[in-house]
Amino acid sequence: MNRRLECLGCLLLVLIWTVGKARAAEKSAGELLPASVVAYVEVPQPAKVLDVVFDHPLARQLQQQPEYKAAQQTPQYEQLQAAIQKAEGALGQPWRKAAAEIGAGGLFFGVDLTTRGVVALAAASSEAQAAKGRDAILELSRASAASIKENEHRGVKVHEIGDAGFAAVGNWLVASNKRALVWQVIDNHQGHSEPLAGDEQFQSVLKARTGQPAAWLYADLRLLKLIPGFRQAIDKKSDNPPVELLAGGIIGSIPDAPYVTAALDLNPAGVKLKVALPCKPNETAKKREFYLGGEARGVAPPLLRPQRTLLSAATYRDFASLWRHAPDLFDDGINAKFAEAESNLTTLFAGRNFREDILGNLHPGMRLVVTRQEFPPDGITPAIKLPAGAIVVRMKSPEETAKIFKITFQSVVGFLNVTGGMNGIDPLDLNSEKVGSALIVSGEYLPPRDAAKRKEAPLHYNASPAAAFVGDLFILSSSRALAVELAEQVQREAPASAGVNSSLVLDAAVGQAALADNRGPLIAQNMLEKGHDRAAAEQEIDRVLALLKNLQRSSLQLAVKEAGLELTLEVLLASQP
Amino acid sequence: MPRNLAELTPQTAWLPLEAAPAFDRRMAAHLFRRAGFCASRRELDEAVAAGLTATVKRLLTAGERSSAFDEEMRKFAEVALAAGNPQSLAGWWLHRLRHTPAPLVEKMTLFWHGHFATSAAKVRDARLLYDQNELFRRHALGNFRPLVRGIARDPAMLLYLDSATNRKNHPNENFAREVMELFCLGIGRYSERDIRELARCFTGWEILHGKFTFNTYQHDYGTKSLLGQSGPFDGDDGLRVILEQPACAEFLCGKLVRYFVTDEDLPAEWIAPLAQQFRESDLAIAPVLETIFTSRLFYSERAIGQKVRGPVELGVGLLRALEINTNMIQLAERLRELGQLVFFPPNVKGWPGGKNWIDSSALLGRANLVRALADNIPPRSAAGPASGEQIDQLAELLLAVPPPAEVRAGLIAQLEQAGGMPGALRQAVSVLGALPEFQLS
Repeated sequence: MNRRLECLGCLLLVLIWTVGKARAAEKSAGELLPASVVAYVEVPQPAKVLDVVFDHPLARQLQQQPEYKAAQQTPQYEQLQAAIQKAEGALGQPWRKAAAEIGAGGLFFGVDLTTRGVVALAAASSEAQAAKGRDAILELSRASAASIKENEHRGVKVHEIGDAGFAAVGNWLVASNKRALVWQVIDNHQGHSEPLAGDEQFQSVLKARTGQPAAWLYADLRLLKLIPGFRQAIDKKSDNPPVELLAGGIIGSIPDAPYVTAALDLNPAGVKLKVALPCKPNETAKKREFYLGGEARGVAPPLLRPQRTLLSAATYRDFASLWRHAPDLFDDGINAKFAEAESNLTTLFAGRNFREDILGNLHPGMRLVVTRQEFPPDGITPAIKLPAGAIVVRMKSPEETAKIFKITFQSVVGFLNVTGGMNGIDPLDLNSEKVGSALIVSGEYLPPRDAAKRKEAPLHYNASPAAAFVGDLFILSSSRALAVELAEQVQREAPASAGVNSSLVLDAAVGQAALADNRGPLIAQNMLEKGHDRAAAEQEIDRVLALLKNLQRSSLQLAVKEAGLELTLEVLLASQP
Repeated sequence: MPRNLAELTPQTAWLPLEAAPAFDRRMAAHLFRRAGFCASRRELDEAVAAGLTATVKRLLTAGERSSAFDEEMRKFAEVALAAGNPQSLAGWWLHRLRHTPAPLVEKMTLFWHGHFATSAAKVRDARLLYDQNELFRRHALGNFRPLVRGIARDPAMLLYLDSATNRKNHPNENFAREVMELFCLGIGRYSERDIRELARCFTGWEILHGKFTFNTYQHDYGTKSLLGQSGPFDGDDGLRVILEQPACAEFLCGKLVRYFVTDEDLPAEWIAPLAQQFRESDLAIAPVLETIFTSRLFYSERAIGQKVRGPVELGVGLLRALEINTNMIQLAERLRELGQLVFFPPNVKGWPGGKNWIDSSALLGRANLVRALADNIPPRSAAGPASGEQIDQLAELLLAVPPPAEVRAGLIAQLEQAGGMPGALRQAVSVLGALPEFQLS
């Protein structure tokens, strides 16, 4: 009887173990990670990511670079190679193949608030693969770590190196810089603790997720806001106006946002990162109207697209509102600087109050464009060819404001002529002309006295500053040619896209051409900075220029939706031959 | 070769070196350290094969064969000048010093830069400093007379000495004083009255829009009495009178000997034979240099290892000897910390040189510079020579006097222990660069 009871007991135990194991194998990373995880990253198909990165023609090109080959000669590279060889020996197969099998079900990372640690989980294709991965880590650790301890936690073998630890838990390979995190994963694996997946917010975000990105991040802002330093950082007044101008609306939305997600798409044609911050933009707009507009309905004007556009940016920003609300947005030091600037700028703008009469007379919204310049063969060519740039704003009462801008422009040109004369720089010849319906006031530097220097003219010959007035639009440009082109273009442009707060486009092909225009100066810079002789410098610059041909276009867009803010960054690569 | 000083006299010091012993690698390395900025292994091989006389001739005439390099450097300078920043120009010159096929021309250009010191700290126009630098290079091994006439019209120099205007009612004595005291005669060889009279000669010499002009309305056409001669002299006449003074050749040859032979001030009778040659050649510089570089004194114990390396010699010399490259802007900055940033001499007297280069903090800075430059040595190839041979080759390239035996033995042991590991050679260069012997040229 006793014997039968013993057998029954054993059978029951095996069954419980088997059922438990089967259940554990079904567990997701969210079910294994502790509830105190604030940031969760998922790479569902790591092998595919490795393929895109390592097999991309660009990667092969990079590997042909002498810098890469020189790096292969360094002791660090040799150590890395030795480690990889050792790992491959332990795994019994090449590392990429092993990584594909160990991470067959995905790679997951968690940043834990309680332990302040990071844990990595790899869902292996089998228990044996997970164990193989653990043994490979052990092998590598033995070569470098002074002391490796082997402990058990709930019957699972955990290897510990100082604070860090790793283990194979069923199909999962777990490693963390805090061994307590490994223990928590084991606890969750056996159903003894509260997992991240138990959080309703996390569940609903996972459920609402669309597409299958290469990597996906979720950060719980409710937990992050419990960190005193984080809370202070987002609540305090800014001491950096450029950051406020660029990201004030995003930072201002964080206190109301419960979480943030980011999805990374990766393919041979490029990379796309989409960050979503669910919040109530119209609430944020109450404090940062300058950034989002009243009720968060501010829309960026359309992007400018003159010829050879290197960079074009358009944004909804109300500078007058920013200036007026500076005491609420910035700390005392910055406000003192605002007051000082206001006084100086009032003097510059013919005694008009800068905040009210100048900024107050501009509609919200600004556009910036940077273009590659072309210099006519029979004209003056600077030794270093800089791109031209222009900003475009809309005036509320052009009859009055345009005159002030024109006078100010003339004053600045006069001032430049006086200071330039003191430093031996030729003066700007001021001209005014009508081009179509536009009035263009521009200054042009007198040609160098020495005719031989016309083809290698100093830097300032890149500029022919211009102010253009077209209806209610004011264009301030570093180049007359660009001002003329924009004056014509703004009269037939498409309306702005709804919901777009800011957007920026960078044309890498034009950037590459602008750099190629300066091949000579770049070579000289290389000779100075690396001490190369001309032949070596030429080779290096030509290689860099050839590499840059792989980039096609980059764009960044901030969209304001009812449900929150959405930031999209995209980098497109040129099609490969 | 007379190694013993007692064998040398002022009469024999400048005689050509006897045929025996043969011109060896150590002597060649000494010649290149002084007449240039160290030699690479290849340059030493070529020098020993060619012999002393041919090597010196080659050094003296290398500038005539460097037109392609000069043109490349001119284009390079145009880009550095486009930034309008003298620091970039300093980087440009260091690059030129590193790569020049005519090291003696550059060594002399550096000499004239210290002699006719003009600082970018005051003259901020990089173009004017570049033009002055080219003036020095053009006349580096030529004749002192046109060089002095050129410098008297040089915009950078006249701006530096606040002599951009010189009016007959208020003659500006600054430039006149420096011409006599620092450029041509030396202190005590003229009177205050001579300075005033020379200043009158230069009235009307002005700088307008960065260019020299002669303002006839402001020139004093009256008679001047200068160093015993009288006449309605203009600036060129004034310079002629000064250059005719016997003291001029003595003064300049004394400076050349201090620059090329020894930091010690040799008595006048030792300089006299050179000064006489300088006068007889109508102030031509190259013949005097040829005499110096082929002389018995130059290869004697009184010369070898008897000069302290200047920072530029140290930095550029290391790059040339090891045939390595570095960031020239950063090198310029490190040389500034060691007291010698080109285009930025400390004052109108130039860099004092000699033992003034060295103090305890400078020694540390020099060792750090060597370590930083040694990082540019590529990883050693597996098929390099044996460790002992490698250390001896390095010492031959870098040191004027052999390293102490225990240091040599230690370095050989280190190199052997390191095997083919990259960094071992860098470490050896760093150790050699920190030796007191390395500070000597």
